Amino acid sequence: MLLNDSKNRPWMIAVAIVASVAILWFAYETIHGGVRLNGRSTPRVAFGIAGGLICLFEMLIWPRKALRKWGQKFPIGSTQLWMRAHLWLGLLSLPLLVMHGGIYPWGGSLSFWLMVLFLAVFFSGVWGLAMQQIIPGKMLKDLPGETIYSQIDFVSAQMRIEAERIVLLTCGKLGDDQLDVVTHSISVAGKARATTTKVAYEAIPNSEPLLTEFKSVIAGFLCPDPIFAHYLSSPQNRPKNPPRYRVPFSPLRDSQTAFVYFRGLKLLLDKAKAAYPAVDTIGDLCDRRRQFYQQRRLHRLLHGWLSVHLPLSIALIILMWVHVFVSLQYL
Amino acid sequence: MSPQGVTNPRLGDDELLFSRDLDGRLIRLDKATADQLDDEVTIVIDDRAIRVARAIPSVDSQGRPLLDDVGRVIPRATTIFDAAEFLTDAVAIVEPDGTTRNDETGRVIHRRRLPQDPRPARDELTENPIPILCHQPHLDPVGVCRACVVEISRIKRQKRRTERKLLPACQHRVEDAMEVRTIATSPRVKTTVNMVVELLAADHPSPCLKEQTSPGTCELEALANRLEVGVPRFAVRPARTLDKSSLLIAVDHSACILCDRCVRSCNDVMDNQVIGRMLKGYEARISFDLNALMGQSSCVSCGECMVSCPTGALTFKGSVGNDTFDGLDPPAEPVSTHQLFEHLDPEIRRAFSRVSPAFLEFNAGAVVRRRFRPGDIVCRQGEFGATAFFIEDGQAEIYIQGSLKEQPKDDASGVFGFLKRTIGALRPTPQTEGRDFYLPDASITLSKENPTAILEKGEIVGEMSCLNGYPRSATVRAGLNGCTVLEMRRNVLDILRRSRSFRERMDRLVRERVINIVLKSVPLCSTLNSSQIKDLSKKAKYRRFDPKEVIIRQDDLAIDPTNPLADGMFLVRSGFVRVEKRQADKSVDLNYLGPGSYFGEIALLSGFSPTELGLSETELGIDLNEIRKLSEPGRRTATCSALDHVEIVQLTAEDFREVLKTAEPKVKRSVISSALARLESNLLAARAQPKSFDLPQIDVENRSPLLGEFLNQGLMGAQSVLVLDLEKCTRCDECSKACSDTHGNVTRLIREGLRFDKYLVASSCRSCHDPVCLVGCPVDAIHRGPGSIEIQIQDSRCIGCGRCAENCPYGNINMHQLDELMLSVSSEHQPPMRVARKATTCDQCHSLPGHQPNCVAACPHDAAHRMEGPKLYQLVQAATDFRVNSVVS
Repeated sequence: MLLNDSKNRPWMIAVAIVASVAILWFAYETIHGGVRLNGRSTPRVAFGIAGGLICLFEMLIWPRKALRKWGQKFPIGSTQLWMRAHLWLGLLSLPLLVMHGGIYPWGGSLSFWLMVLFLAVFFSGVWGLAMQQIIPGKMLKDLPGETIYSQIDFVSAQMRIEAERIVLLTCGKLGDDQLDVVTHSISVAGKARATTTKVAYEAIPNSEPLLTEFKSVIAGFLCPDPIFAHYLSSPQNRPKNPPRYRVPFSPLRDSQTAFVYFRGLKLLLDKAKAAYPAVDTIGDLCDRRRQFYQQRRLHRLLHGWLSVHLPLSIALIILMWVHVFVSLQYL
Repeated sequence: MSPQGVTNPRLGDDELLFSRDLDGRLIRLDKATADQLDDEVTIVIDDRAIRVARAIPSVDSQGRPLLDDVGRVIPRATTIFDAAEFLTDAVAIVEPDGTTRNDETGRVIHRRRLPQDPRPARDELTENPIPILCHQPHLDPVGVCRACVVEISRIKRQKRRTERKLLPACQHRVEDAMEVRTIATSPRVKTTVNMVVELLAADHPSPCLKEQTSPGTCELEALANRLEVGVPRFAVRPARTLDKSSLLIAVDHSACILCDRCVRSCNDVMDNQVIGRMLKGYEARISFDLNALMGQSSCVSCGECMVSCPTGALTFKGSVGNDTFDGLDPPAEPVSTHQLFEHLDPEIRRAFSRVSPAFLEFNAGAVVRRRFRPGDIVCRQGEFGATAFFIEDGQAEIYIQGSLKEQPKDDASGVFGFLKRTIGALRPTPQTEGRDFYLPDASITLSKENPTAILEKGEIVGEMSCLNGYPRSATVRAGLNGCTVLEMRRNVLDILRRSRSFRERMDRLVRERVINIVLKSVPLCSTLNSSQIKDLSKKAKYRRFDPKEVIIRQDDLAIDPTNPLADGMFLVRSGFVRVEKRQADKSVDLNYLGPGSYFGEIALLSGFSPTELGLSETELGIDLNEIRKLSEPGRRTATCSALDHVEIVQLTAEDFREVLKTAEPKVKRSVISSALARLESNLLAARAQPKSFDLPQIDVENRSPLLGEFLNQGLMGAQSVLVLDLEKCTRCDECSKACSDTHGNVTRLIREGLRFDKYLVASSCRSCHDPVCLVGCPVDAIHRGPGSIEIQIQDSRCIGCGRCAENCPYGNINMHQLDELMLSVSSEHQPPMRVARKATTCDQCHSLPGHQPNCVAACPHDAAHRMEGPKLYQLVQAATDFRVNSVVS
C-alpha cells in the first residue's frame, strides 16, 4: 500500500498523536519517579497490554484474508480498512512495546528473545512496506511486457514455440512433425478449436546459422528444457507444478550482451539478409523473456518478505502468550 | 451469409444460366445489378397483378442490408416467391374482429382450427400460395425440393407462351408481363407438387420424431396433409442411422429430405461451417465436418440447424431452462405453440405465422402470458428490459416520470437519501413548455398537458429496449380493466424479425419513434411546435451505421442535394462517432461524439451566407464570417465515422437552413457559437502534438495518440471498466482470487490488458453501452440485469454455443469446459438439457450485498477500481500531462 495516499493521512495523524502521548507519559513518569520504571509500573503494563492487543489484532488479518468470503456477507470492514489498520497500528506497536520493554536492556532471556522476535517481525513488515513503495513503480517503468506471475513459464513456453516456428520457417525446416507442435501450441492456448493457419513464407537460403544458434543459445534462454517439456506434455498427464529452474547462463541475460549477440548473429547471416526481420522478432521475444526474468526477481523481492514475516509472527504470538503467563506469576 | 452473387461459381457445368458454387448449390450466373433496384416490372400471380422491382437489397437473417467492400447495397434478383410474398401482404386485410379478408373479393380467408384437428390452422390465403420446403425467406434459395414449382407464361415473339417446364418460384426471377399459376389455380402444378411431396414423403418415416413429440410441427407432413397426398404409393426408403452423440440434438438421417436448410443455417446464418453434404444419389446425406458424428464434430450446438429443419431429422433432446419468469407478480402462464399460431388477435397470429414450431418448443417458456390487474406496472422507466410485450387483451397506459434524460434513481438510502428525496419532492417539476413527451418504447406521442396514453391490443411495446440494451424510457401500466400481455424474450423477437412483414412494421415504428425523439430533444428544434416537428420528421432520414462505416468525409460538399447521403447535418441517437482530420499522410483524432450530440453543422454554416441564414448585420453574422474564414466554405472539415453501432437522424441542408432561419436568437447564438468553438478546438487539437500513454518511456517519434488508442479500444462506450493502478498494485492477485471465490473457483477476470499510462485495463466485462454480446444468443441466456448495467449469463439457459464470446470484441467472455455434464433446470414436461460447456462473464457480483464487485472490494491496496471509460480517459490525460510537464520542466 502506498503511504503517499491522502486516505492514509487520518491514520498517520492519529498514530503520531497516540505515540507522542505515550512517549510523553513514559518520559514524564520516568523523570518524575527519578528511576527507571519497572515492569509492574502502570505505563509499562498499559503499553504491554496495548501492544499485545495490537499484535493479536495484527494476526487477525490472516484469517480475515483466508475467509474473504465472509467479508461478502458480514459487515467486518473493508479489506482496505483492515490493511490500513494493520499497517498503522503495527507501526504504533513499536514505540509502545519498546517502552513496555523499558527501552533497554530488555530483561531476562524470555523478554529478550521476545523483543528480538518482535523487532524481526516489525522490520520484516517495514521491509515489505518499503518494497511496496518502490517495486510496483519500478515494474511499471521497466517491465512493459510483464505478465501474470504464475503464467510466466507458460507464456515462455509459448514464446519458445513461436520462435521455433519462425526459425524453422525461415530455414525451411518446418516438417509435418513441427506442424504438430504448432497445432498443439494453439490448442493449449485455450481456443475452442485447434486450427492450423496457412503461413505464406518462403525459406531463406543460407539461413542455417540461425537454426544452429537457436538450438544452442536462444531456445534454452526463452524457455529452459525442463519447463518446455512440462508444458508440451498433455494437460491430463502434466504435474501440477512445473519443475524449478535457475536463470540459464546466457549472453541473452543482459540487454547489452544480447545486443552484441544478435549483431554477431546478423553478421553470420550476412548472405541471408532476408532473415534479419526474423532475427529482430526473436530479439524482441528474448527481450520480453528478459523482462520475465526480471519480473520474477522483483516479484520475489515484493512478496518474499512474507515468508519471513508470517512464520515469525506466529512464533511471536506463541511466545507472547508464554510471556503473559510468566508475567502473571510475578503479579 | 454468402448472398447470391457473392460466392465465386465453379464454372464448367452444363446448365446454361445456372452453375454450382463451392458448396454445390445451384446459383444463377447472371447477377442482379444495382440499376434493377429501381426497375419495376408487373407480374400476375393467380390472376392478381403486382408491380415489383427487378431486384431487392440482399439482407441477412435479421433484415440488415448486406454491403459490398465500398459500402454499396448488394442487389438480389426478385424471385416469383418474393413477388407472391409482396402480393400476400398487400391483399390481406385484418378486420377489427379478428377475421381476415381478401381486399378484392371480401371473402373470409382465415379458417379457425377444428377441435379434433391437432394441426395448426392456416390462414390459407393470407399466406403465400406457393408452398415451400427447402426455401426460407431468410436463406439463399437453392431450389432442391421443387415443392414451389409454378407454371409460367411470358411474351415471346409478340405472343404469350407457357413454359414447357414448371420452374421453382423460390429461384426464378420476375419478368415484365409474366403470368404465374400456382397450386391454387393450375391443376398441372397441383399434380406435380403433389407428386413431389409424395416422393419426399416416401423418403421420410411417418410420423417422424418431431411429429411424434409435437403433432403438426413436421412441415413435410403438414404440407402432405394440406395437399391431401395420403400414404405414398412408392417404396419406403430403408431406415438410416440415428446419431445421438450430441448432447443437445438428435440426428435422424431417415427423416432427412436433403433440403439443405440446416446446411445454409449453419454456414450462412451462424457462420459455423460445420454441416455439409456428402455422397451422391441414394447415399447422399448431410454430414458434420468430415463425416464425424455430430457430438464429435466441431458443432457448437447453437440449435440453428434444428430450428430450421422442416422434418424430424434434427430434433432437440432437451429444452432450455424456463425459469426466467419465475417469481413474477402477476405470475407468468405458459403459452403453447398452438396458442400462438391460433391466436385470435390477427396481428399476433401473423407475427408468429413464420416462426418455426421447433424454436418455440426448444425455447419453451420464452413467451408467456401475464394478466395484469388494473394499475399494475408492466414495465418501469429506467430499468433495463430484456423482454418485449404484445398487448393481447385490454389496454395499457403509458406515462413517463420526469424528462427522458433524468432517469429516476431511488437507490439513495439512509439520512442522505431521505434528505435528497425530500429536497427533490420540494423542487418544482421541470417544465417542457409547448413540447410533447415522446416515448421511444411506444408508438404514441404524448402531449404535455396529458402525459398518459393508451395502448390497444395487438400493439407491441418495449421492443427497442429489448433489442438495443438501453434502459426503458417509459413506464407502462395496466389500464382500468387490467390487461393481458404476451411477454417475450429477445431471441423470440429476433426470430419474429425474420419475417419481412413483421420486420418492416417494426422498422417503420422504430424509424418514426427515433426521428421524433431526436428532433424533440435537440436545442436546434426546441422552438418548433408539434406540427412543425411533424413536418420536419417526414423529411428527416433515419440511418444506421455499422462500426467503422464512414458517415461523412473530410472535404466533401455539405450542401449537395444530388448526394442525399452526404447532404445536411447529423444528429446522434445512439452509439459513438469518431471525428478525425487527415493531415499530410496521417489522420489525427480530434474528438468523439456520443448520443445526444450532433455534427456536420460547421460546413453548413460556412456554406450558407449570413444573408441566407438571416444573420447579416448582427454579431452572429460576424461569428459566421469567422467560421467561413477558418474553414473552406461548404466543405466538411473532418471525417466522421461510426465507432460502434450508430443511429443517426439526418436533416437536409435546406431543412437545416429553414430551421435555423426561423429559430429564436438564443438558439441561433448557441448553435453558431458552439460551432465556432468546436472548429477552433479542432484546429488546436490537430496542431497539437499527440499525447502518449506509454510514458515514462518517451518516444516522441513513435508514440501513439492517446485518444485514438482509447477509441480503438472501445473505451468510450464502457460503463464499468476494471482499472488497476499499477503504481499501487503489488500483483498479489487478490482480485482474481476473490473473483474465483465468488464464482465457483473460476475467475472471470484476467489481470492483463492494455495499459494507459499507469493504468491497466484488465480483461473483464465493461458493461458496454452497446452490448454486442447480447446479439444473436439463440436462447437469450445473456442480458442485462433488470435494474443495473451488468451483463448476466443465465446458467440454466446457456447452451454453450459461444456466440456471445465470439461477439465480444474485447475477449471478456470465456467458455468453460465442464468436467461433469451440467444439467439445466427442467420442468415436469421438459427433459433436462445437457451441455458440455458454458459461457461466463463478469456479472459485477450483482448478487452480493452492497453491489460492489468483489475484485474491487478485495483489493487491499486501493489499486482496483471500476469506472466509466471517459473517466479513465480523464485520469490518463491528467497523469500524462503531469508526466510531460515534469519531463519538460
